[in-house]
Amino acid sequence: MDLVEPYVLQNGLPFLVASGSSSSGDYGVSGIPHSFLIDAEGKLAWHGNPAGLSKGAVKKALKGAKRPKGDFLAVRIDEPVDARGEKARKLAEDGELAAALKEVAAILADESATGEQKQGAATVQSAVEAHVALLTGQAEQFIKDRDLGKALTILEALGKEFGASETGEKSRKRVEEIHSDPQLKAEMEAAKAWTRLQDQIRELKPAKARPKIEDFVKKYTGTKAADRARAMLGPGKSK
Amino acid sequence: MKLTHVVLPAVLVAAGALVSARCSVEGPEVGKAPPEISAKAWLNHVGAEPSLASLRGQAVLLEFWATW
Repeated sequence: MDLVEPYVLQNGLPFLVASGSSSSGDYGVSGIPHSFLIDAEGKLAWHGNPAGLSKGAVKKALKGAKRPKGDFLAVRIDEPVDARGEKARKLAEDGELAAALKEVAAILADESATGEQKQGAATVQSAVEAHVALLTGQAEQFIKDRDLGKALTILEALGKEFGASETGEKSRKRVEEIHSDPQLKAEMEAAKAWTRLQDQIRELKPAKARPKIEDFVKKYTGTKAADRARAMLGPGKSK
Repeated sequence: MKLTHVVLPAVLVAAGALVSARCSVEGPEVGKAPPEISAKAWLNHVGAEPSLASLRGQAVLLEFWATW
Protein backbone atom coordinates (compact mmCIF):
# COMPACT_ATOMS: atom_id res chain seq x y z
CA MET A 1 0.00 0.00 0.00
CA ASP A 2 3.01 2.32 -0.13
CA LEU A 3 2.04 3.17 -3.69
CA VAL A 4 -1.50 4.14 -2.87
CA GLU A 5 -1.18 7.02 -0.47
CA PRO A 6 1.23 9.12 -2.55
CA TYR A 7 -0.91 8.48 -5.64
CA VAL A 8 -4.11 9.58 -3.92
CA LEU A 9 -2.54 12.69 -2.43
CA GLN A 10 -0.71 13.43 -5.64
CA ASN A 11 -3.78 13.34 -7.81
CA GLY A 12 -6.49 14.84 -5.61
CA LEU A 13 -8.96 12.06 -6.37
CA PRO A 14 -12.64 12.99 -6.08
CA PHE A 15 -13.65 9.79 -4.31
CA LEU A 16 -12.88 8.30 -0.91
CA VAL A 17 -9.94 5.89 -0.80
CA ALA A 18 -8.86 3.60 2.02
CA SER A 19 -5.83 1.38 2.49
CA GLY A 20 -5.19 -1.57 4.74
CA SER A 21 -8.70 -2.97 4.74
CA SER A 22 -9.88 -6.51 5.34
CA SER A 23 -13.35 -5.75 4.02
CA SER A 24 -12.71 -7.60 0.76
CA GLY A 25 -12.78 -10.79 2.83
CA ASP A 26 -16.11 -9.82 4.41
CA TYR A 27 -17.46 -9.13 0.94
CA GLY A 28 -16.26 -12.41 -0.53
CA VAL A 29 -14.21 -10.63 -3.18
CA SER A 30 -12.04 -12.99 -5.16
CA GLY A 31 -11.57 -11.18 -8.48
CA ILE A 32 -10.90 -7.48 -8.87
CA PRO A 33 -12.04 -4.95 -9.64
CA HIS A 34 -15.35 -5.74 -8.01
CA SER A 35 -17.96 -3.17 -7.05
CA PHE A 36 -20.97 -3.15 -4.77
CA LEU A 37 -23.82 -0.70 -5.23
CA ILE A 38 -25.63 0.11 -1.99
CA ASP A 39 -28.93 1.95 -2.09
CA ALA A 40 -30.17 4.73 0.14
CA GLU A 41 -31.69 2.23 2.56
CA GLY A 42 -28.35 0.56 3.09
CA LYS A 43 -29.27 -2.55 1.09
CA LEU A 44 -27.10 -4.14 -1.56
CA ALA A 45 -28.62 -3.30 -4.94
CA TRP A 46 -26.06 -4.83 -7.29
CA HIS A 47 -22.53 -6.16 -7.39
CA GLY A 48 -20.11 -7.21 -10.08
CA ASN A 49 -17.42 -5.90 -12.36
CA PRO A 50 -17.66 -2.09 -12.44
CA ALA A 51 -17.80 -2.19 -16.24
CA GLY A 52 -21.10 -4.00 -15.94
CA LEU A 53 -22.82 -1.36 -13.84
CA SER A 54 -25.77 0.00 -15.80
CA LYS A 55 -27.17 3.52 -15.66
CA GLY A 56 -30.53 1.96 -14.82
CA ALA A 57 -29.16 0.24 -11.74
CA VAL A 58 -27.55 3.48 -10.59
CA LYS A 59 -30.76 5.45 -11.14
CA LYS A 60 -32.69 2.89 -9.13
CA ALA A 61 -30.24 3.00 -6.25
CA LEU A 62 -30.36 6.80 -6.23
CA LYS A 63 -34.14 6.78 -5.67
CA GLY A 64 -34.79 8.51 -2.38
CA ALA A 65 -31.09 9.10 -1.79
CA LYS A 66 -29.79 12.24 -0.13
CA ARG A 67 -27.06 14.31 -1.69
CA PRO A 68 -23.58 13.27 -0.60
CA LYS A 69 -23.03 15.04 2.67
CA GLY A 70 -20.45 17.73 2.15
CA ASP A 71 -20.90 18.65 5.77
CA PHE A 72 -17.72 17.49 7.40
CA LEU A 73 -18.60 19.61 10.42
CA ALA A 74 -21.19 17.02 11.46
CA VAL A 75 -20.28 15.10 14.63
CA ARG A 76 -21.53 11.60 15.41
CA ILE A 77 -22.30 11.16 19.08
CA ASP A 78 -23.01 7.53 19.94
CA GLU A 79 -22.91 7.80 23.73
CA PRO A 80 -26.27 8.21 25.47
CA VAL A 81 -27.20 11.80 26.21
CA ASP A 82 -29.81 12.91 28.73
CA ALA A 83 -33.11 14.21 27.31
CA ARG A 84 -32.19 17.80 28.07
CA GLY A 85 -29.00 17.43 26.04
CA GLU A 86 -30.86 16.07 22.99
CA LYS A 87 -31.16 19.48 21.38
CA ALA A 88 -27.41 20.06 21.66
CA ARG A 89 -26.72 16.58 20.31
CA LYS A 90 -28.98 17.11 17.29
CA LEU A 91 -27.31 20.45 16.56
CA ALA A 92 -23.87 18.81 16.71
CA GLU A 93 -24.99 16.00 14.40
CA ASP A 94 -26.28 18.60 11.95
CA GLY A 95 -22.90 20.33 11.98
CA GLU A 96 -24.22 23.38 13.85
CA LEU A 97 -21.34 23.25 16.26
CA ALA A 98 -21.42 26.79 17.61
CA ALA A 99 -25.13 26.47 18.40
CA ALA A 100 -24.49 23.10 20.04
CA LEU A 101 -21.82 24.56 22.31
CA LYS A 102 -24.13 27.44 23.19
CA GLU A 103 -26.80 24.95 24.29
CA VAL A 104 -24.21 23.04 26.29
CA ALA A 105 -23.01 26.20 28.01
CA ALA A 106 -26.57 27.07 29.01
CA ILE A 107 -27.09 23.64 30.62
CA LEU A 108 -23.75 23.74 32.43
CA ALA A 109 -24.42 27.26 33.73
CA ASP A 110 -27.86 26.28 35.03
CA GLU A 111 -27.56 25.76 38.78
CA SER A 112 -30.76 23.73 38.86
CA ALA A 113 -29.51 21.27 36.23
CA THR A 114 -29.15 17.69 37.50
CA GLY A 115 -25.90 15.73 37.48
CA GLU A 116 -27.19 13.63 34.59
CA GLN A 117 -28.11 16.68 32.56
CA LYS A 118 -24.68 18.17 33.10
CA GLN A 119 -23.08 14.84 32.17
CA GLY A 120 -25.05 14.77 28.92
CA ALA A 121 -24.01 18.33 28.13
CA ALA A 122 -20.38 17.50 28.86
CA THR A 123 -20.56 14.50 26.52
CA VAL A 124 -21.73 16.70 23.65
CA GLN A 125 -19.10 19.32 24.49
CA SER A 126 -16.22 16.79 24.42
CA ALA A 127 -17.44 15.32 21.17
CA VAL A 128 -17.61 18.72 19.49
CA GLU A 129 -14.23 19.79 20.81
CA ALA A 130 -12.65 16.52 19.72
CA HIS A 131 -14.12 16.93 16.26
CA VAL A 132 -12.79 20.49 15.92
CA ALA A 133 -9.36 19.21 16.98
CA LEU A 134 -9.62 16.46 14.38
CA LEU A 135 -10.49 18.90 11.61
CA THR A 136 -7.79 21.37 12.64
CA GLY A 137 -5.26 18.51 12.61
CA GLN A 138 -6.44 17.43 9.18
CA ALA A 139 -6.11 20.98 7.88
CA GLU A 140 -2.50 21.10 9.07
CA GLN A 141 -1.77 17.77 7.44
CA PHE A 142 -3.26 19.00 4.17
CA ILE A 143 -1.03 22.07 4.39
CA LYS A 144 1.98 19.80 4.91
CA ASP A 145 0.91 17.69 1.92
CA ARG A 146 0.42 20.93 -0.02
CA ASP A 147 -3.24 20.14 -0.63
CA LEU A 148 -4.21 23.71 0.13
CA GLY A 149 -7.66 23.57 -1.40
CA LYS A 150 -8.76 21.04 1.22
CA ALA A 151 -6.99 22.87 4.04
CA LEU A 152 -8.73 26.13 3.17
CA THR A 153 -12.09 24.40 2.84
CA ILE A 154 -11.79 23.18 6.43
CA LEU A 155 -10.38 26.41 7.89
CA GLU A 156 -12.88 28.66 6.14
CA ALA A 157 -15.77 26.47 7.29
CA LEU A 158 -14.50 26.59 10.89
CA GLY A 159 -14.02 30.34 10.68
CA LYS A 160 -17.57 30.81 9.42
CA GLU A 161 -19.12 28.39 11.92
CA PHE A 162 -17.37 29.76 14.98
CA GLY A 163 -17.61 33.47 14.16
CA ALA A 164 -16.07 35.72 16.76
CA SER A 165 -15.01 32.95 19.18
CA GLU A 166 -11.42 31.84 19.73
CA THR A 167 -11.78 28.89 17.40
CA GLY A 168 -13.15 31.12 14.66
CA GLU A 169 -10.38 33.69 15.11
CA LYS A 170 -7.65 31.02 15.06
CA SER A 171 -9.04 29.52 11.86
CA ARG A 172 -9.29 32.86 10.10
CA LYS A 173 -5.77 33.73 11.19
CA ARG A 174 -4.47 30.49 9.68
CA VAL A 175 -6.26 31.26 6.41
CA GLU A 176 -4.55 34.66 6.31
CA GLU A 177 -1.19 33.01 7.00
CA ILE A 178 -1.73 30.66 4.09
CA HIS A 179 -2.65 33.49 1.77
CA SER A 180 0.35 35.59 2.81
CA ASP A 181 2.96 32.81 2.72
CA PRO A 182 4.73 33.27 -0.62
CA GLN A 183 5.46 29.59 -1.07
CA LEU A 184 1.93 28.51 -0.25
CA LYS A 185 0.58 31.27 -2.45
CA ALA A 186 2.68 29.90 -5.30
CA GLU A 187 1.22 26.44 -4.62
CA MET A 188 -2.31 27.78 -4.87
CA GLU A 189 -1.63 29.66 -8.08
CA ALA A 190 -0.04 26.59 -9.58
CA ALA A 191 -3.00 24.43 -8.53
CA LYS A 192 -5.45 26.87 -10.14
CA ALA A 193 -3.37 27.03 -13.31
CA TRP A 194 -3.18 23.22 -13.41
CA THR A 195 -6.95 22.92 -13.19
CA ARG A 196 -7.28 25.38 -16.07
CA LEU A 197 -4.65 23.57 -18.13
CA GLN A 198 -6.33 20.22 -17.58
CA ASP A 199 -9.55 21.65 -18.99
CA GLN A 200 -7.64 23.01 -21.98
CA ILE A 201 -5.84 19.82 -22.88
CA ARG A 202 -8.80 17.53 -22.29
CA GLU A 203 -9.75 17.59 -25.97
CA LEU A 204 -6.20 17.65 -27.34
CA LYS A 205 -4.24 14.73 -28.73
CA PRO A 206 -1.27 13.66 -26.54
CA ALA A 207 1.22 15.09 -29.05
CA LYS A 208 -0.41 18.53 -28.78
CA ALA A 209 -0.94 18.34 -25.02
CA ARG A 210 2.56 17.26 -24.16
CA PRO A 211 4.43 20.53 -24.89
CA LYS A 212 1.81 22.48 -22.93
CA ILE A 213 2.33 20.24 -19.94
CA GLU A 214 6.10 20.51 -20.27
CA ASP A 215 5.84 24.30 -20.29
CA PHE A 216 3.66 24.16 -17.21
CA VAL A 217 6.15 21.97 -15.36
CA LYS A 218 8.94 24.43 -16.19
CA LYS A 219 6.92 27.46 -15.14
CA TYR A 220 5.67 26.06 -11.85
CA THR A 221 8.59 23.86 -10.95
CA GLY A 222 8.82 23.11 -7.22
CA THR A 223 5.06 23.04 -6.66
CA LYS A 224 2.81 20.06 -6.10
CA ALA A 225 0.85 20.94 -9.24
CA ALA A 226 4.06 20.69 -11.24
CA ASP A 227 4.71 17.28 -9.66
CA ARG A 228 1.27 16.14 -10.77
CA ALA A 229 1.85 17.51 -14.25
CA ARG A 230 5.24 15.83 -14.48
CA ALA A 231 3.64 12.55 -13.44
CA MET A 232 1.26 12.90 -16.36
CA LEU A 233 4.18 13.04 -18.76
CA GLY A 234 5.19 9.59 -17.62
CA PRO A 235 8.68 8.14 -17.25
CA GLY A 236 11.46 9.18 -19.62
CA LYS A 237 11.42 12.31 -21.65
CA SER A 238 10.15 14.78 -19.03
CA LYS A 239 12.34 17.86 -18.57
CA MET B 1 -27.70 13.42 -7.84
CA LYS B 2 -24.36 11.89 -7.14
CA LEU B 3 -23.17 8.53 -5.90
CA THR B 4 -20.71 8.51 -3.06
CA HIS B 5 -17.78 6.59 -4.47
CA VAL B 6 -15.63 4.66 -2.00
CA VAL B 7 -12.55 2.70 -3.04
CA LEU B 8 -11.11 -0.05 -0.87
CA PRO B 9 -8.09 -2.29 -1.48
CA ALA B 10 -8.56 -5.98 -2.15
CA VAL B 11 -6.56 -8.11 0.24
CA LEU B 12 -3.84 -10.10 -1.54
CA VAL B 13 -4.70 -13.72 -0.98
CA ALA B 14 -1.99 -16.36 -1.54
CA ALA B 15 -2.81 -18.58 -4.53
CA GLY B 16 -3.37 -21.70 -2.41
CA ALA B 17 -5.77 -19.96 -0.09
CA LEU B 18 -7.79 -18.37 -2.90
CA VAL B 19 -9.87 -21.46 -3.63
CA SER B 20 -10.79 -22.05 -0.02
CA ALA B 21 -11.51 -18.31 0.42
CA ARG B 22 -14.01 -18.46 -2.43
CA CYS B 23 -15.70 -21.47 -0.90
CA SER B 24 -15.84 -20.33 2.69
CA VAL B 25 -16.78 -16.64 2.36
CA GLU B 26 -20.06 -15.90 0.66
CA GLY B 27 -20.58 -12.38 -0.56
CA PRO B 28 -23.44 -10.27 0.71
CA GLU B 29 -26.86 -10.94 -0.84
CA VAL B 30 -28.66 -8.47 -3.03
CA GLY B 31 -31.56 -6.99 -1.07
CA LYS B 32 -29.82 -7.42 2.28
CA ALA B 33 -27.57 -5.03 4.19
CA PRO B 34 -23.89 -5.66 3.37
CA PRO B 35 -21.17 -5.76 6.06
CA GLU B 36 -19.77 -2.56 7.49
CA ILE B 37 -16.53 -1.49 5.88
CA SER B 38 -13.35 -1.01 7.83
CA ALA B 39 -9.89 0.22 6.95
CA LYS B 40 -6.55 0.88 8.61
CA ALA B 41 -6.26 4.23 6.95
CA TRP B 42 -8.54 6.57 5.05
CA LEU B 43 -6.38 8.60 2.73
CA ASN B 44 -8.36 11.61 1.57
CA HIS B 45 -11.42 12.15 3.75
CA VAL B 46 -12.23 15.32 5.64
CA GLY B 47 -13.80 15.04 9.08
CA ALA B 48 -14.94 11.76 10.60
CA GLU B 49 -13.88 8.46 9.04
CA PRO B 50 -16.37 7.18 6.49
CA SER B 51 -18.49 4.15 7.26
CA LEU B 52 -21.61 2.70 5.68
CA ALA B 53 -23.50 3.76 8.80
CA SER B 54 -22.41 7.37 8.41
CA LEU B 55 -23.25 7.25 4.70
CA ARG B 56 -26.73 5.85 5.29
CA GLY B 57 -29.29 7.75 3.22
CA GLN B 58 -26.88 8.18 0.32
CA ALA B 59 -26.32 5.77 -2.53
CA VAL B 60 -22.81 4.33 -2.22
CA LEU B 61 -20.62 2.67 -4.84
CA LEU B 62 -18.03 0.55 -3.10
CA GLU B 63 -15.15 -0.56 -5.27
CA PHE B 64 -12.46 -3.10 -4.43
CA TRP B 65 -9.25 -2.79 -6.40
CA ALA B 66 -5.51 -3.34 -6.07
CA THR B 67 -2.26 -2.01 -7.41
CA TRP B 68 -1.24 -5.25 -9.03
